Amino acid sequence: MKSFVKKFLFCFVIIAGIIATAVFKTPIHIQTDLMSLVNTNENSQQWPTDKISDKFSSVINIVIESRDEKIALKNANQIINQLNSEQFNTLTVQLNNFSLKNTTKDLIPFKNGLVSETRRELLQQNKTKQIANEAIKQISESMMPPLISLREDPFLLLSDYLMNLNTSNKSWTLHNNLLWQYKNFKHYFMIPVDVDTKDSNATTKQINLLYKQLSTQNTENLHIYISGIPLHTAIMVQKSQSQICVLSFIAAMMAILFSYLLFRKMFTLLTVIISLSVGFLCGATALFLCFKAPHILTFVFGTTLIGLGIDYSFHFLTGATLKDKKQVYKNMFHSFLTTLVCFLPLLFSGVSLLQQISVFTIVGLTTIYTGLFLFGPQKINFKIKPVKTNLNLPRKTKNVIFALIGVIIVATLPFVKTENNMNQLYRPDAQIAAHETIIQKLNNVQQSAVLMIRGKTIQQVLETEESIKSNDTDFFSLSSIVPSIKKQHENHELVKNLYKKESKYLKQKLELKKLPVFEPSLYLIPENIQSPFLNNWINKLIIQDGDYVYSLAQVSPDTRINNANARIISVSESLTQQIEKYSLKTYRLLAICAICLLALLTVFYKKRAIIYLMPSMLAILLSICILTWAGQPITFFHMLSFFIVIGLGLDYTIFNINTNTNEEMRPIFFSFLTSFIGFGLLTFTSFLLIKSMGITLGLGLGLSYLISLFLFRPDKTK
Amino acid sequence: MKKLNKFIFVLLSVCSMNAFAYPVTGEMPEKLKTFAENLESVSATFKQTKILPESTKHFISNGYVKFVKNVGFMWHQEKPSKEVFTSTLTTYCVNGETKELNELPYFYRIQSMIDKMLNGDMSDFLFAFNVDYSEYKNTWTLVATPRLTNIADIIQNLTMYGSTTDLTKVVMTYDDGTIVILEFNRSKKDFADEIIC
Repeated sequence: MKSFVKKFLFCFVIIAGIIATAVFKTPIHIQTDLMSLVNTNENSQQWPTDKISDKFSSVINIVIESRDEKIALKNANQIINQLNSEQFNTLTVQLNNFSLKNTTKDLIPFKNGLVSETRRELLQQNKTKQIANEAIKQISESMMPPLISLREDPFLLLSDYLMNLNTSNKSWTLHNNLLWQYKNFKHYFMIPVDVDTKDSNATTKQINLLYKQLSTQNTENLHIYISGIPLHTAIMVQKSQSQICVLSFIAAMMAILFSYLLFRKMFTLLTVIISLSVGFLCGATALFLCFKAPHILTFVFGTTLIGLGIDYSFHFLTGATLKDKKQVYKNMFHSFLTTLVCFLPLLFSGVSLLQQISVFTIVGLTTIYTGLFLFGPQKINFKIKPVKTNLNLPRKTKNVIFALIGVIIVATLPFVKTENNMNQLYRPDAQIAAHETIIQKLNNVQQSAVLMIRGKTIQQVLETEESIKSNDTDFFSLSSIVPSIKKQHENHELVKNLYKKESKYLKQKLELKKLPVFEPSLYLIPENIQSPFLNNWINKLIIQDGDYVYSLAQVSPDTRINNANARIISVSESLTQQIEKYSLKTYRLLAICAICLLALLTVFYKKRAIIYLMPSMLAILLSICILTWAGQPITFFHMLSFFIVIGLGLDYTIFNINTNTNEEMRPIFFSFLTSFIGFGLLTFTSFLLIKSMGITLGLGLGLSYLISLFLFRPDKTK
Repeated sequence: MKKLNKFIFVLLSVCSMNAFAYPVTGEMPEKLKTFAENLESVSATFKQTKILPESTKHFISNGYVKFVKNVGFMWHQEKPSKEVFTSTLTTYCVNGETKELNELPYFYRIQSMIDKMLNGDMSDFLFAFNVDYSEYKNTWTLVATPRLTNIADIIQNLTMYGSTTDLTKVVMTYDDGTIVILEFNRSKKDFADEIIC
């Protein structure tokens, strides 16, 4: 194929990709939620467990604390007004428009079906006199009036049902339509805010702005606390974005500086910058075309491309300065193929993040490699200064170092610890952690699991819940608010019997003006509830997914339920299990990678293949040892970094071993230095996950380079 | 006769001016302040009369109450059934079963509001209620109407009658028409019961 046609095809594919992204994928969405990395459904055999974290992880809680009720209430209302403004259009204040009068009014037409469990038991045991006497005592002796008029509820059955609903949330009471607590002479008002995560950029900005604004409102007599997963995500994303921007700028400047120092020609800078930019653009385009909302971590890991891109650019340009460029281009080809083999298995991992990293790196790298050969300068009139020092160590020294490495690895590996608990992989800033603790205490959050109950219809769900509750397992759920029609019908009959037996007795004892008469009432169906407050409440307890309706209830983690349509899920436990599963997959993928690389290297280098793989493997093992000494457990994210260490480490090894002249050594050193500084800088970010990636890559790349150079490079002087 | 009428008119006007209710906005009125200052530890018998709109009967219960400023109170109902309710600054107990006051936020709030009031600070009470106050000789009357919707949903108003030494009567008129009247009679001897949970 003619060079012109190749160039045309190359440009055409890139432009077509960009146009396709612009037409079909705008506005682009980037996923920032850490939880979204984990597909908890995979473990759950068709149960939509991910929806649980969706339900609970899209809310921010703002708590206003003051000894002065006026100040607390005024500030709570000011914050609500602030949140209702256009400035915060991705944040919606959850309405607690509770009115005892209106809720009671809404429920009176259904009164006979709504009976609390304790009253129902008494009715079933025919203890009607006891119910009547308790009502008489309550009505005649209490300082408070009946909650509902005696004409509507003479036996206080509906009042009792409503009081039971009210005590279901023991922590907060409604006060002026706000959640309120009075604790240790302090007033607490809580504002739950729903977060719309569709436009993650806008959400991140708005949450950060809100956090900043609320932090400035604290005074001696007013404290504002804020917590919730979206807050952690937003702060983490903004901090990481700005830190990564600064670090990427430093890394890019380093790349430009080293490029200039190496070739002393301005146009070489242009080659490096263009190849990196086009590579990044194509990688991102492929990512947006293949995935609905790529994760921000893919772009963080995607910075690997800078390291690999710099490698290829430097080696290509070095080749252009040499008369015999065959060996350099051959090394480049080997290095390109080995990197592809390293990232290709990730495509079949079934883990979205790994697939995204794979697509981004493979497409970006192929573009850089192909672009350099199609458009890069073929000849540069410049002679690179050779490295003067003799880099070969004496055989004995090498053996001692090998032995030392062996001892270190053997002695340390038994003490390596792994960590799969998501909570341990993220440590929030001290102030946010303190806020979280205060709000958790106010919410009285204890370790709990979620009970999911499914059915084809809501009535089926309600009946399943009731059958589980009838086996002495008590929990607050949808059926605590709305009994099933079947149960309401039974209640109806029981209440009718109560009126029949005790109406006259009640009239006589309370000297009522009229005899209480049983009036048939309607059946309450969740879909037809008029009360906005109850509707809001019910919506929080239901999930619709496919053909099933699911109800959610919080239960103690040691609850045991034997029902095919019920399942107890501990969100944090299933997250840990899933990360554990991903880690195991990644171990396997690393092994597959090593086998594939060994096979490919055998094709290239026959028996010497293992020598090419050894530096990266030793570097990984030594990095694990150093991390263990530093007391750091190995996480899933360390393992991801090992793929990059293999990819880049193999490049250094191939060039360090195959390079014959000392002129070619300098570009290897500069490309290593660029990657080492670029990734090493990530160590200084505040986000634990990226920091651990920075440490792993810094260690892994440094060791790969040094081991391949000093221990595996053959003595070329002989 | 005309002169006498005029005299009676002027006299009644002056007297009723004294009994005119006026809204309280900040400082605690003098007699109420004296009452609050005097009230340190008190034991009294009570009679509760409850009038329901649906019934022709007046429901009466009685017993005794003990109050110690900045410590708490005990409500001991003897008839028609025995019930004991004790409240300290942080806990409450019903018939011996102890619970944290945090679990009854409204009651806790009202109790700390009253405690503050008895220590001369009416700000919290004035935030929750519009207060009209009147005095006549040694007695005072305070009518409190709720300002906050959640309280107004339940109670229409609360009227307290007292002197510089005692609280004599409280009348609570609820939103559904129920009226509860509490009458207190200071006891000469101090009830021995301790206010603890």
